[in-house]
Amino acid sequence: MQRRDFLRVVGTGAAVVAVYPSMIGQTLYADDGQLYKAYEKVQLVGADGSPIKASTLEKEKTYVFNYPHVAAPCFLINLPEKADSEVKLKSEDGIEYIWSGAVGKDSSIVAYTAICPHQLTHINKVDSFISYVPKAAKTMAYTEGGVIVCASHLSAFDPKRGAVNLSGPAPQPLASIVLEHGKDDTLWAVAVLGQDKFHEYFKSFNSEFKEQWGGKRKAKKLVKFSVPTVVINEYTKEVIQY
Amino acid sequence: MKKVMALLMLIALSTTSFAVEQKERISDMKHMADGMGLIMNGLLYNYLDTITDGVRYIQEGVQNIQKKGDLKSYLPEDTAYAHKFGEKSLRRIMEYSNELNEAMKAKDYDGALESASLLMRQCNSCHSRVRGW
Repeated sequence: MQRRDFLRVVGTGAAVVAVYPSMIGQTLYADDGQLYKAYEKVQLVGADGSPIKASTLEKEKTYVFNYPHVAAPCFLINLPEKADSEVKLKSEDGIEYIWSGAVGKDSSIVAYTAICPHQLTHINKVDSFISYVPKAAKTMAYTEGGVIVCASHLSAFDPKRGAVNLSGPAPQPLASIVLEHGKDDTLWAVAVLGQDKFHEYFKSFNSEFKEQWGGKRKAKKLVKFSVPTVVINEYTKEVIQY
Repeated sequence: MKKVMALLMLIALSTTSFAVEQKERISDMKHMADGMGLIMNGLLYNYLDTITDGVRYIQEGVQNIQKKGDLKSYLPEDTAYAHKFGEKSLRRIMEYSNELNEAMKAKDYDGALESASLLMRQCNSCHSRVRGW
């Protein structure tokens, strides 16, 4: 390569990064406003290490796994009905993005970060003030069940529509976990869609990370290869719902 | 007549008990608010002893409330159902105030500032739920 061509390539690269700084770090803002961050593809497995099969997930039972960080909790829910697709969502700072829909035979399996974007209420090993309220159940946060509710300040999110914030003080949807459904019925987490709150989350709960994960550094590590996925009552001691 | 008297006594007793609880609650909250004020002043003017006093006030407030046991009867009647949220808030307040103390000992000003703001947020988090805006 001649010196002039080399300089042209370097210059173009620098210009692209200057105009789209998000090109660094795998954060992609597509033309249609998508906000998408890819992480290592990780298989969802049971507590015994065997792969979770999508067809075995019970309807409306909440499962929990950690992704993309070791201590970043997420909900996996097999909804009672098919989820919507191509749902337009908006993050707190106004970025619009598209949630493409659920996976599985019935297009009903969804996954979201279990960290409320309002004040970072989340599920941990001791308790959970955020959880899925089944369709037939009642909640103070919304007019009907079938929603994810943050019991701290009563925000409700619609899992059928990309966890859009329906009511309460939450300023944006829950970030969603992009799932892949393998031909062999296995489930894989591959990315986070939407504006996550991991930065604030890891700044806010030092004592908890120390107690439950051996420190913040360990808690922040990225999950690799596979991640245990268990029902909510096995993950935490108490689920509090209002 | 006896029944009426008993009913009146019951009403009087429950009103008195409610008034006592409310008085205790105001006193505990004021103690903790004073503590928060001391922390803010201490951070602003770099008075380390003032910050330590503020942390002590807040932790005394938390311990006073925790001593009462069940928060259900401590919270206002209309938000008593949120007692688990209140209990969790107290635990977090204790954590953040301990972290503030540790940051002070380590002469970590930024860490202390961070803990103080988390402490303030936690206080407001509970107030916005229990007292409303």
